[in-house]
Amino acid sequence: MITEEEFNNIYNEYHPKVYRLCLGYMSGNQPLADDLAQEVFIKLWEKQNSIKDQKAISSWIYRVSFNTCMMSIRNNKKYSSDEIEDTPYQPEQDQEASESLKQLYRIIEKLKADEKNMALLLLEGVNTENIAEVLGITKINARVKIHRLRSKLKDEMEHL
Amino acid sequence: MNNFNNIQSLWSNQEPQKQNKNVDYIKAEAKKRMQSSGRRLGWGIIILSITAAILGIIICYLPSLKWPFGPGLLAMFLSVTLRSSLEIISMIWKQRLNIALPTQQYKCQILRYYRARKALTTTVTFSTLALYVAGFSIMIPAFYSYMQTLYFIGVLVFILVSVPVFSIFLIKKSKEELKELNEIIALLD
Repeated sequence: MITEEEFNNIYNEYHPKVYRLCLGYMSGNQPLADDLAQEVFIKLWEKQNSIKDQKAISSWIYRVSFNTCMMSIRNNKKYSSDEIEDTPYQPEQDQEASESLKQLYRIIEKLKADEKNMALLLLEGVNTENIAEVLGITKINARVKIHRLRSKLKDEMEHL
Repeated sequence: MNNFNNIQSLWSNQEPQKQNKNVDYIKAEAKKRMQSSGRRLGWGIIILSITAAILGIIICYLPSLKWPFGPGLLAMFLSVTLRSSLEIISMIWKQRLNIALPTQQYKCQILRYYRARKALTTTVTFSTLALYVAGFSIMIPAFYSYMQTLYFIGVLVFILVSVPVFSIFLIKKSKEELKELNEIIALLD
């Protein structure tokens, strides 16, 4: 059982991460990602009794986030990055970065569901062990897939 | 952009937009949903208890009930009890779905649930409705014999209006749920 104060701390620590993860799923649409991130935290509060180990809370949060995102897609249908007017990162002086981010969203959008989950965790800097735990795969399998995915993302971004 | 660390920093530099809702709103909304789902389950249990109690009484007095009241009432209350029980099982099943499972396992778990829900919405709902109508129908001749003509016509008109209205409502609701379930199953499959 999480106390209200602990939940506040979890919210402050994980909200930006969960929000970015939702942004990845919603192809950069901020209002949808905001609603989805909120939905994730509502589920976290509702299902807090299922947290077995407080130390594994980060992988628990990521799993809940992925499953909430997966189920939400049917409500929001398929969202395409081409429909986005502005990307969330908009430094006025850094047009190149903004374009790069748009390109990154397009790449993520084209990935298969399991690759997308892994890519979003990788971009958040989650380590191999945690990625394996979140996705329910072995560490060896995760390591191989991460290696391939990193190369794929780098290659695709190089074609900018 | 050929360094993965650059891609990571590009990603993590995204600023979250100003949040419309704060953490207190989230907790309040979660509590509201939990209360609402608890209330729905509570009402379901109350309805089930009442129908089960009536069914129990009918079964106890079945030998002393004249044909066709015994089988007729039994069929009607059996159908309502069965449908209510399955609805409660479905509610509990939904509450126990573990959203913290790895995605593939969660997908399998939720697919099983939605397929069962689909069977409940279609086959089970219409079978129980048919059983209910059959139970009532076999009692109509007896009503005619035992009731005064005016009462009988009143009961008959009430049933001829209420059963089709209820059936149309049920079919409409089932169609809506079925459409939604088919969409979810297609997405997850």
